[in-house]
Amino acid sequence: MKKVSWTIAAATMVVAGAYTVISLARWEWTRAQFFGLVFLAAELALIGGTVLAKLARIERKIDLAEPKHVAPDPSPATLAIVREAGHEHDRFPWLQVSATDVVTRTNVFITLVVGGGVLLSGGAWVLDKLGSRTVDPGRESQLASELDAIAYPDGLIVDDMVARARSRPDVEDDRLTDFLLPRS
Amino acid sequence: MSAKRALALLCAVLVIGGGVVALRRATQSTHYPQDPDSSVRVVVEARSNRAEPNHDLEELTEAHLWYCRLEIGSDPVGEVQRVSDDPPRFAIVLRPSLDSTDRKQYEGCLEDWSLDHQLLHVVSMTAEAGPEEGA
Repeated sequence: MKKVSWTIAAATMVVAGAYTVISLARWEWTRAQFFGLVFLAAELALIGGTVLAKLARIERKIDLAEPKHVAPDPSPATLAIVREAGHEHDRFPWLQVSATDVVTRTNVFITLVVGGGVLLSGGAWVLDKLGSRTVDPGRESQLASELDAIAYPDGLIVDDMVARARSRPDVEDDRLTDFLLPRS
Repeated sequence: MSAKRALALLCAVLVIGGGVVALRRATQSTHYPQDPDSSVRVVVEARSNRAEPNHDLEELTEAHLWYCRLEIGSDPVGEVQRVSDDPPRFAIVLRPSLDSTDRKQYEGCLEDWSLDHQLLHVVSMTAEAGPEEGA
């Protein structure tokens, strides 16, 4: 990517420079000014890139020459505070309303959430209908054969595996059970 | 400094110097007296892009031809004529005729991006009467 950028900048500079000279020779001053500006811009980009690359090289050399700085172990108290903050942080305090607030104040946000929910549900319903129309028997049988190919062989599946595969183990899902359990 | 490096430097200086001299020659005005009765007919092909709706191609071309005439010492004779519709071509007659520098200047001005929304291409510059260069 870097090489491509350099090549494009260099080619732009050369072509713009050539066209500046050609335009000048043809007495086309406006074109010459335009190409001159492009030439200058490409030249500045190349110079800037070269200087920045050189600075980065020097910075790397300085970093390598410096002795390695090893961070000391954090104190247990600080570590505990950091961990506590990560677990206990309430990310949605603005959603908490008291019972009196609900009665005395109309919250615009709730309206937006409900309205947005309605819109999203409508969109999802349309997508669902469209998606179900695109499924034909041929694709269904193709999907079934693909699932057959990756089905677990008989006798290798134990019950806790089936339970783990569910998002909510307490809810029975016959389709998932049928798929995961050994076929009789 | 090594001999190779010195040679390369010399070549670069020669090339750049030669280029500057060539460019100076190309852009230097050198005028010759013209026969006052001589004239030159300039035919241009015109194109416009997103021009103002109030100004048609003929109007833009006429303005361009007249504006560039200020770069040279000749005057237009008569009106700008439409030569053909497809491609749209226009002609103007200038008197006296143009010397080589004036030709380059006029052609350069016409083909330059001088006027917004308008692009001209010089099709021909034909001397109509009398000697062109001061012979």
